[in-house]
Amino acid sequence: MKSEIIHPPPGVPGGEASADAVVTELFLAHRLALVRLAFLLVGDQESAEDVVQDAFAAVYRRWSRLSDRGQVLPYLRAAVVNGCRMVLRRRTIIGRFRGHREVPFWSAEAAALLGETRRQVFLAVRALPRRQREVLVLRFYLDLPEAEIAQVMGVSRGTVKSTASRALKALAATLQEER
Amino acid sequence: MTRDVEDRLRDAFAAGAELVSPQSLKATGTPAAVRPRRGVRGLPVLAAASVAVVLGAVAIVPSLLGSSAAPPGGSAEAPTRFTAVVDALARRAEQPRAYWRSESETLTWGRPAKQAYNIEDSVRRVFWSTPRGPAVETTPLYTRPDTAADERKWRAAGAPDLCGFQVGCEGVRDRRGRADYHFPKGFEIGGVSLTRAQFLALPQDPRRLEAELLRLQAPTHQESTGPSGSFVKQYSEQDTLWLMGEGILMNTPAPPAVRAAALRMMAALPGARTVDQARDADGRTGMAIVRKVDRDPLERRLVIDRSSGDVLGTTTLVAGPLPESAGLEVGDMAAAQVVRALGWTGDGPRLPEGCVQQAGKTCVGS
Repeated sequence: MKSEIIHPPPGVPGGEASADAVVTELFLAHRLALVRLAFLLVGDQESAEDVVQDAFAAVYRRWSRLSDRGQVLPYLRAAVVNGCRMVLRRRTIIGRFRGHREVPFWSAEAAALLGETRRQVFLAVRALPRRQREVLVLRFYLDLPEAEIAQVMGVSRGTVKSTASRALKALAATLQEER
Repeated sequence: MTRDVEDRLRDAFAAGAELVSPQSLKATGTPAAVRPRRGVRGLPVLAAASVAVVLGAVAIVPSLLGSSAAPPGGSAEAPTRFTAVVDALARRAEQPRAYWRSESETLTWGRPAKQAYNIEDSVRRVFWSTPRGPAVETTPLYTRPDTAADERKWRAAGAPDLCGFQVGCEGVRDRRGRADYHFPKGFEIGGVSLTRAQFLALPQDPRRLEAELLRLQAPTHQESTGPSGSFVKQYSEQDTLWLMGEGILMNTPAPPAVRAAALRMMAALPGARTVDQARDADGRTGMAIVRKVDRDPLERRLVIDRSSGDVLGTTTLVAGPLPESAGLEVGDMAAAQVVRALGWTGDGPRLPEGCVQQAGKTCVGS
């Protein structure tokens, strides 16, 4: 259930509409998809919702400084991906002191809902380096083309391509072993 | 192998994302729900704006929904929420890509002729829009006895092979798991075939859309008798509009504003109502437009995502007595479609080797 929505809502050509109206529209239209994106990256809904809330807050706060308001959605996605990186970083640091907590996504309940085959895929994805995970989610969940993935991640298209290639190769090897 | 991994990733990500249901999100209608987490000044305003949008939507419920303002069986807020979701859909801008697809699983329940058990039949269908035109991919998935009791009766009958509603499968090639492709000349919606230009030009106003669909269906609607002269029970005009609406939403890459118009048109059909809480056959929750079919004792539900307005699926429930041979009682689900993927994509259909997409042709997968 994915749609490519790149521009702010019609009716705001030139970005003259108020930040309130546009950000609220974006919030209503994209919140769920962005929470799902964050959920796939961090593995728990509460953190995902917080990350998305912060991303919208950032857009709202910087509205007057956004140079290209036709690119708000890529900007939001980039903010979400960055926010997820921060969550994972915090989790790693906390984990060093308190031990790692199993996030709900990998719980037995979620595994039961998803089925063992899918769980294997998630566990294999989770074992990949952070950048590879991000590329895979943006490519195979959001169906973004390389150029947009590069924009969201702040890397070159070549890096996206090579990262995706390495990730798929690693996954193929892991999943093959499990068969 | 890489292609296999890609498929598994798409499937796993889609299923994983569904664990976040629209209803499970924190409420956004109050300032507290979207309060700043780190002293952000802007968010109270954002929250207030959210409330304003909701309140504004209350004030501007289109007259089209007037007939369903207090729907029987639905909540009083359902039309308002429906309007807000559809308004957002109408304003959505999409960036078309090389391909568009609507992938769904069609489930049908019922009793095969002269049998004592019910079956569940499942078929995967993907409606494609490609640079060369439309394509329809069909993959029979399985047919099996419906419940444990049905399975016992099926075993007692000798556990015959099941091929859809045909028992025994004599002369039927086993196509389970194999995709066949058909390349129609146009996009099929409710018995009418539209060219890409025609559906792109469909009106974005629900009343004008309805008039245009009636005009398009006029030539086909006159065929009230079968080729042999036998009487064919016809769908009413409203039934056909509903089916055409479903077709626009699920079989064509119609622009968001046209999809929104189709939803408004369906919600405004006589007898239609909006329901705030509904589930598709996969258990996913959303809003629904509900309407009893004029031609048959069936109730159709179109379930949409409460956030995006995209279609989650359809269900068809038995709403009146059916012949005993159907094996279904009032309240039973007779059929359902579960949408698995919908929208633009960079990947096209994987045609069988040697298959060339050509209007009017069919390719059989090996």
